[in-house]
Amino acid sequence: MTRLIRTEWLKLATTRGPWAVIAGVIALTALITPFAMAEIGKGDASRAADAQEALAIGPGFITALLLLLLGALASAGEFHHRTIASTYLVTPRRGRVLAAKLIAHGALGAAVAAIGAAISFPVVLLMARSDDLHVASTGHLAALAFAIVAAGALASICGVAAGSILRHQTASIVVILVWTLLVEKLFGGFFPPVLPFGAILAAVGMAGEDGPGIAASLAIVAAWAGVLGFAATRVIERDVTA
Amino acid sequence: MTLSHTDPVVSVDHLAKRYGNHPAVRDVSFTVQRGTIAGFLGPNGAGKTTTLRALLGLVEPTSGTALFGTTRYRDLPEPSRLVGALLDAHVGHPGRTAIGHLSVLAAPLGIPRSRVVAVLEQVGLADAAKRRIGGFSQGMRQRLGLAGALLGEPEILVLDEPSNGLDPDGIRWLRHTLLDFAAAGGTVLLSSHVLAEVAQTVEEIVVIAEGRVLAHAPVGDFTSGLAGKATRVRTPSLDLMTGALDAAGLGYERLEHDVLRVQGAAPDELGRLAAAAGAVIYELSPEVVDLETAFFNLTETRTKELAR
Repeated sequence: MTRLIRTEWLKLATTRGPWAVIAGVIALTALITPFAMAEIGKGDASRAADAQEALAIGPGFITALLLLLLGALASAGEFHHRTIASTYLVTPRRGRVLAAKLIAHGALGAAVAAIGAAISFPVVLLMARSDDLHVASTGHLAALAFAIVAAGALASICGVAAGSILRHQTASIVVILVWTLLVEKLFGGFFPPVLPFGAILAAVGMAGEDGPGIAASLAIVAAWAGVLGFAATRVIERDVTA
Repeated sequence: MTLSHTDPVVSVDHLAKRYGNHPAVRDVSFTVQRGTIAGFLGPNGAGKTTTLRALLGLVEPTSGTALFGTTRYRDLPEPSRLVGALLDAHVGHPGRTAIGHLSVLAAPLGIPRSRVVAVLEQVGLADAAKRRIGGFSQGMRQRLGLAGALLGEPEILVLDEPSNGLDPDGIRWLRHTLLDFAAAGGTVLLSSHVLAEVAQTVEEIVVIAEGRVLAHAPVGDFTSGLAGKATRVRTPSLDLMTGALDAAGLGYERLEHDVLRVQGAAPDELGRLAAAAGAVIYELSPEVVDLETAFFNLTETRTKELAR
């Protein structure tokens, strides 16, 4: 299994997609975080909550969306680029290939989210200090950082599972974008805690005061990752004709 | 894992595969013995690729079996070390380099980088090792695909249309590579619809059309016999000979004033017929048909028979 996970890492390292996502997370977090902090009004009662959102918008919202897409593109891309046949010829036990891919992408997702958090946290905390704003207790900040990293891992896993189920790159992109940015928005303004992307946002502190707690939100996302992963195991045995 | 030295290395038995209502493979049975280069021939849509994919565990047969020795591909431990396969010219991610692509294939098997470099040299792609596959010509992709098939130093190669996209030099290189592989004890099953290319490489052929095997024989037998046995007969006793042929119900045509071309009978059979009729014979020779002609004769005839 270690070799298979290493193989999936190698697949990621030898293509441009993951590097583009890492660059995108760094650039967007570095651009958006100061802008979000600057938007917080001086006399606003919800300044601390807004600052917490500023912490998460780059490594949470943007990163989760990019990781969902990357995971789906990587797994559906095996069909698009017709590499799935050689993958299964080398490792015919398809469940092991899927498991290795989920683990490798989960680790990548955690790492990318951590990179994003390593940019947004210092920016927010430094700007908050200069503005005399108390963002959150050290314990809550640590919990948010953990949630961001865990959400990154789970978003990647959901993306890989979705791409494995759909087996089509364009369909995967469309389904993920429509689901996250339209369907979930229509059914509860982004924050119904039972839907996956809303739960990711709630976990990273973007649900405001009314959202479920970090642990509950992560549990919901993990449940979705489990459901999608299980569904993927049901469809990977289909014929490979491409 | 190595296979028994006595059993066929490839055994396909009454294989059938349907996609919905479409029967891609109806009933295919054949075996390939160790150390042979077998051609799997048929027109486009005959069921060659589906058969090979079923053999390699990529599609699940509707019925029948396709085995290496006595084992399904998916049940072989580290199958790439026993069977190397090339199924498609689109061998890898276009953004990956040639060496990156082979490294991805080598990693699950623990194959060292030195072997990756060696197969790149073997297929003539050492200079293109760090180029992205997206910029490769189809011929280079085929070479890279073959490098992937050879990576695990397998005993068996299964190649689907390996000469597609290769220039004449590439085809000659492929032929020598396969002959060297077989000379070292390897077994090759290769599909093609370009008969002229396989004619100089394969030792036996399996002909398939409309999902059924039409013929399975050594190339020599196929061209001289199965494809429409015909014998050239030179005789001064034309009346006696044609009378005997008519009585035996054999078809013939007159090529020259003393030469007949007789369909459906071998020289020894005609010799006995001529002796019984008292006809003098100057020449009795089996008609040599090239593989391409034999293939088209056979597929046309049998396809019409199946349609009836």
